[in-house]
Amino acid sequence: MTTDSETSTDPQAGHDGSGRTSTPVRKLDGIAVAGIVLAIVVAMTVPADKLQGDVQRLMYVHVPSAWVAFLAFGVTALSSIAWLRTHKVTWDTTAAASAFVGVFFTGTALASGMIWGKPTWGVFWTWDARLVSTALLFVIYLGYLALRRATPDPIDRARRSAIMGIIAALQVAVVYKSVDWWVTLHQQSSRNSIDPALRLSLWVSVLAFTIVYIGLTSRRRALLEAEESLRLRGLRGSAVAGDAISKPNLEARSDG
Amino acid sequence: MTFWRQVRTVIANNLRVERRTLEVVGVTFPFAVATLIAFGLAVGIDAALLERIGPALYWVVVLIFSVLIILRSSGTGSAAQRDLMKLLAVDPAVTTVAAGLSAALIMLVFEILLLPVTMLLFNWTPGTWSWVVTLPMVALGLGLLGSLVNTVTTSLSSRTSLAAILIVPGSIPLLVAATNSLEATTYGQGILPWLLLLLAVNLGLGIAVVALAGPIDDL
Repeated sequence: MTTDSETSTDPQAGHDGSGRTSTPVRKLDGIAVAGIVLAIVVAMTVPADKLQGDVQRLMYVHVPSAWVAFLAFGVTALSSIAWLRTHKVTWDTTAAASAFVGVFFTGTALASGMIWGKPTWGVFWTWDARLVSTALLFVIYLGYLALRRATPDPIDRARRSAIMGIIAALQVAVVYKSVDWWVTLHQQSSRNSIDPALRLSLWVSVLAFTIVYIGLTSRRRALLEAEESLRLRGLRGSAVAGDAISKPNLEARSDG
Repeated sequence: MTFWRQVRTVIANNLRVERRTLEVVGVTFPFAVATLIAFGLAVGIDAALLERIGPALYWVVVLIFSVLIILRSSGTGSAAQRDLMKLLAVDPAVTTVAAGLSAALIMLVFEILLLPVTMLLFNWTPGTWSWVVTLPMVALGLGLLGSLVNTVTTSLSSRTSLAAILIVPGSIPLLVAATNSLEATTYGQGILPWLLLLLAVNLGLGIAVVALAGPIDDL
């Protein structure tokens, strides 16, 4: 059964109702662009790694992308739990938007890792635990998004995807721990041994990517909520079964 | 009636359905044997290579065919059956746990049937006791994950492909643990880390099955 809380949407989340983007989202866009510009400047000005040279600079894309992907899937899992507890549509759209952005950043992490792998390992792809588990994480969340697309009813979709959003999060732990569990080519965490200048640049990139994630998720969420709002508006104005049937004229029959 | 007694009753019913239809033993298992033969033919007549890849092929076939076993028509309860369970006030956790465990038992039967065939075709001997532990643990993991995915994709038009894309990547930790425990015993190393990984995955899935029983029941 559908309740008000299940179907209520907040079209003001990212739009002002007239189709224009609201001021907070526009401000966030500005901060995200400024953050990315700063991250690029810092990443290109810090010294290159002594052993790897300029190839190491890919780390400023690869590591933040992987971090944002983990963050995004974590938010999806938490929003899924929140939807199962409250049945508020905003949690469902947050979970969906975050998973969508998470898939994008997982793809970015995979692509940048492969580009880095060619000059470093000599191959684009190898059977490395982190690489394989990340690729599988990518596929699982593609499945999550496919599950959402395959379920037309919004409440049914929210319930199914909330369950899947929680189960899929188990894979995030596998990806994170894969370099500790398996002896692989991928390096283990090096945040304590990294040069301070490189670490600073990495933190700037992580911060910039996180702001971009928040901005993209907000926009995607606003879009999903606007779509839902439009669907509900369409339902209210559309014809229903029985509209074409007119009341029989019983008086005329009795006269005849 | 206690929780576990209800679970046993539902499992017995699910297994009875499988025994009557023989869908896994009579249809899925011969198909899996044909797949193993096709693999062997594709690899060629290099006996040493076939012997080496035999166990890996066994686990890959188990993993992929778990999708068919989970999605078999006799394993999916009808809407009327689910409504009857609700009318009987059966705890949703009983239904989901029983679905997971009965799928795990059927998976175990499939694994046990396929093992001697693989040994025969690929001239390979397990030679270690680790199989006694890994077979049921992998079956349990696949059964729990499969039953969760099965309910999430119930009645969707693209159910078959959706379930496959959700089950296969999700069960990779099980495959990794199973193949690595075999490799570890071959080279005289301990298998405890791999058994712990299997245990952790099964525990996580078990908690998910019980915790999500309510929302699953509403689907």
